[in-house]
Amino acid sequence: MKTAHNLVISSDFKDYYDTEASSVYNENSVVYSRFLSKVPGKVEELKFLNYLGNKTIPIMPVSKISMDVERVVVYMDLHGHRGKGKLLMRLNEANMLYPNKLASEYFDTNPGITFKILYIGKRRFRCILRNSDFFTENEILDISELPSGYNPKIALPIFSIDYVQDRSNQMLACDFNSVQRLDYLGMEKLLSANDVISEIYRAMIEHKI
Amino acid sequence: MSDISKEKIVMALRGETLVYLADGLEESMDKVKSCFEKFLKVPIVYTDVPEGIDIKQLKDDPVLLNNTFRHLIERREPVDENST
Repeated sequence: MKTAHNLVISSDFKDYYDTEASSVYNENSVVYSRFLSKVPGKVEELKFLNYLGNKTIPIMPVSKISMDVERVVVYMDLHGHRGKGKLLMRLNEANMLYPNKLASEYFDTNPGITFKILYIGKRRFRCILRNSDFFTENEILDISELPSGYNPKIALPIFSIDYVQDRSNQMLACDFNSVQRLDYLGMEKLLSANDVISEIYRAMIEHKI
Repeated sequence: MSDISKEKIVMALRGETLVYLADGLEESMDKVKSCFEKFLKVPIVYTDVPEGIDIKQLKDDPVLLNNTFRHLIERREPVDENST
């Protein structure tokens, strides 16, 4: 049975909870627009987090990175998602091949591990993910629910922030996902499609989007 | 002409409530405001910090923040849905 909320999803991808969204738009509909093709990109994402007071990974042209850094992540496509558009290589190699591309230090404190804080409405989850080829998040090591609550500054129904641990074990934000897919995270086991639709709907009302 | 840089504040408008986002000197705040506009789907309010007001107090006290800038919300023109 479809949820009573009149939520219409406008998107360029499918997710598991879409089946419970309304397919008919009318004057009472609330529209959730989520387009992966329209996200502003890596540099803007990091700036956004930084402006909100979060510590973020430093990102700069390869040629400006300190020579005591061993390996770097080179961004070939600043709009890539889930590992696409990134290359991991030694700094000296990157300096020869891509001196002007943007890059960040690769921290091997927890190699291949991403810590993700995921917001679905007011429900918050901490996900620990192992990346198959350094970047592609596809093995979920742990998901635990955190105390619920809306983020007052980030008025989006679903979003996530990814963190890595730097050399001094400090957590640095490395990604802001203003559009976050839930299917590959296995959220279906924790939240039914109906629950997700309700959370999105309530968040849009709460945030007055 | 004054050479003193103005202090600016950036806020998100959620319904009729203002939420503090960031503050800083005028020359750096324009880009901060446009960055917020790219991600947040709510109106962004950008204005001078009034003289004599402690920005830290505004940051920590949502009631004071909303009282201080209430006039900006009241001044906003309602959107005419029939306009083209």
